[in-house]
Amino acid sequence: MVRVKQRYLLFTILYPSGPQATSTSATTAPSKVTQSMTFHSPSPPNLNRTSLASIIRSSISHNFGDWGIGQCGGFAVKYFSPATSTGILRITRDNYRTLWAALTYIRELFGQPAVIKVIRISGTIRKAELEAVKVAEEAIRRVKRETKGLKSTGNLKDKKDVAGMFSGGKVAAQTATVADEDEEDDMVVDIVDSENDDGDEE
Amino acid sequence: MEIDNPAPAAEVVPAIKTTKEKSQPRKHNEQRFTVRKPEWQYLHLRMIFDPPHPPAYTSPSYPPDLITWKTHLSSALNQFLGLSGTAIPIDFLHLQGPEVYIRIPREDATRFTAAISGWGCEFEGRSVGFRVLGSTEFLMGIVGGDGRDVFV
Repeated sequence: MVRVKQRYLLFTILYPSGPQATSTSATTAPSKVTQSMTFHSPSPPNLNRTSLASIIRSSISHNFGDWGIGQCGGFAVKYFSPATSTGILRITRDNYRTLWAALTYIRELFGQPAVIKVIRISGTIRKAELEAVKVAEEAIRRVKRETKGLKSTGNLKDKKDVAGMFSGGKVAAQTATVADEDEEDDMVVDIVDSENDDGDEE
Repeated sequence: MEIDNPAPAAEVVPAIKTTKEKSQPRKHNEQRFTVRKPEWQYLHLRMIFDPPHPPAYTSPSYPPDLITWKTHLSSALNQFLGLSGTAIPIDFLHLQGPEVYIRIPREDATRFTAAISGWGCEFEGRSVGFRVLGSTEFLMGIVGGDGRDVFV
């Protein structure tokens, strides 16, 4: 019996122009949001695993035709988190490059300019999950570094905004940004937990 | 594939001497070239219609012109291979009635042939399709003849 070899693609969605005005809960202009927060902003609420799969499928169909759908239409979105705009795809090993190309060719999601960046290819979903956690932690660290410069106008409520960025916008988003050390650490733990929960569904 | 005469084409590269060849005595004026990975694939295609046209039939649309060829080929490639298929560059070398001689990059030949052979459409009340009459890496392979006159 031959085992079917799979590849897991960890990807993240980047939004060069930032979130749309309607999708942000804060109606006041987020003037102090840093560049990397804009870039890694949460996905629109209507982007879930199903709609993402159909977008990717249409990209495959457009770029690689019937042959492409036949080769790599069998991919599965194993995990997608709109909060961090990160997800994991599963595809047979022979076809991951075609799928990767189709992801690269996606230029917008729901009319919003977007770039899908493949961070890691892995043979097991576990390694992809670990990398996702690492990437999320690094993103938080980067935001903290960037916001150091903006600290002079520090507002105590600002810390909520970073948390809002990475926790699905449940925390009310205010203007930017400087984050307290303790709160940041809690948030990292949250993300780690949620990643594992979702990953275990397999 | 080996040819004894040095051909002028750029893709002809000198063969690497193996130890086996070295052991054999060779004449001084003998040169050998091995053509590896030719750049192009030459195809001889015919557009087929069902029901077929009468033998001497002509109309503004019947022997199909090059634009028609390009349109149909693109449509076939787009269906099977998507945008990456329509990106295959096609050089039309010669048009002869419902047949055409084309040249495409060799690496794309397999995909190209697969795409056009499985395609069909309805055009002016007739089913249209392609038939691959010949496919070769060398132009001499489809224009016929033994090619001897080239080297005279």
